[in-house]
Amino acid sequence: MLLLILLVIQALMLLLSGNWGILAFAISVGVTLLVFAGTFRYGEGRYIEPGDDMDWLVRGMEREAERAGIRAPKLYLLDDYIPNAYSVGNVVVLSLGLFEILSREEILAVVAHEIGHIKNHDGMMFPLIAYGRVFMLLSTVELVLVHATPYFIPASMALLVLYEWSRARFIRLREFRADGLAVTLLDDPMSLKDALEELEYYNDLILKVRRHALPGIEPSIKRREGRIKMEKQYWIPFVFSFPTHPSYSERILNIMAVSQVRNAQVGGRYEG
Amino acid sequence: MEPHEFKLGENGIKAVLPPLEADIMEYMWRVKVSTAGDVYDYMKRLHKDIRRSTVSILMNRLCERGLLARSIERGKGGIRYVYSVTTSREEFERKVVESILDALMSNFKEATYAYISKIKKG
Repeated sequence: MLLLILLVIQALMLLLSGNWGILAFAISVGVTLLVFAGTFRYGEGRYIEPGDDMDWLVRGMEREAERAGIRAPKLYLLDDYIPNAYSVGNVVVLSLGLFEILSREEILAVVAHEIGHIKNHDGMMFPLIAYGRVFMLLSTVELVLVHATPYFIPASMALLVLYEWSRARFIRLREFRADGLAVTLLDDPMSLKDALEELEYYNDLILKVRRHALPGIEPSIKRREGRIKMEKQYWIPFVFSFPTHPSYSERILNIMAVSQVRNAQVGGRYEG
Repeated sequence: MEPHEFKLGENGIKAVLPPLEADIMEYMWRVKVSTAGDVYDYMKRLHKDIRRSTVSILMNRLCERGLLARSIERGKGGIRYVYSVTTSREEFERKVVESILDALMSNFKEATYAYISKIKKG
């Protein structure tokens, strides 16, 4: 809600800055829509349907969706060796890298986390917030360029910082909420903790390997440094930012706390 | 495929590859095609504390080095990555020797010639 209010104030400041402000507003909206349209082509061809051979995964996801009280999402596998998972709308995407490092129970735990996001409508909210961010960035620059009133420029910059802070806080809270819901969907809630521990280990190790790697035997192949970055379905501008994701340790602590509360509520049914 | 580093104190391909990557390559040259899961089962016998993540990262590093190739296979267990060797062990060893001798010839030509002649005579 706060994010929406900030966007509206920013838009009003542009619209109140004369004809150039109205034009700048139109440009901001246009560019944001172009970014929105462009991201839907991103990564085309790399998505694979799981097929009949992965019945355990599809059935497991359907069971979790039923427990969450939502329609079963569509599942795609992504041709990427970096372990990753995300959801957009009612679609869950798992990278093939996940299957190399996690057990079936742990993969279903990751799916449960994504179902948590879908249940909380994050699959729609996160992209919208990201596009709102594009609009905020553009309109702040435009307010400077159209020589808006002296009050508008610092106000716009303050709004941008506030938007960034609110966005980060919102996404962090949503991550915890998705974990909390996932715990209630799993037969063994600790499988989510195990999955996060392995993913944390993977991320730590891959950073170490890249930092301290011996020279490669094949010098012509340059490693793409950006590969570690988690892939998203929507565009994120690379400017200053507050951390949007809680650390794995924070999430693991949260899962353990939620599990303990749940254990107490269901009389130890989930002990394990 | 030119080694940047040759460790004099190490044996076999561990002289030009980090130890865990060398172990993986030894296995891969034997089986030619494998999944990270199967390599993990093999590596677990050699290094009991090794984790799946370590094997996955190292296998993808070997892909980046050009020693392994990764492809997608749709099989009984579902869709997964399979890794295959891009070069035989003999070919790899030949390239290592060639690149080291080339480096010696360009930096220490006379000493290298003299030593090769000495070996030939001996």
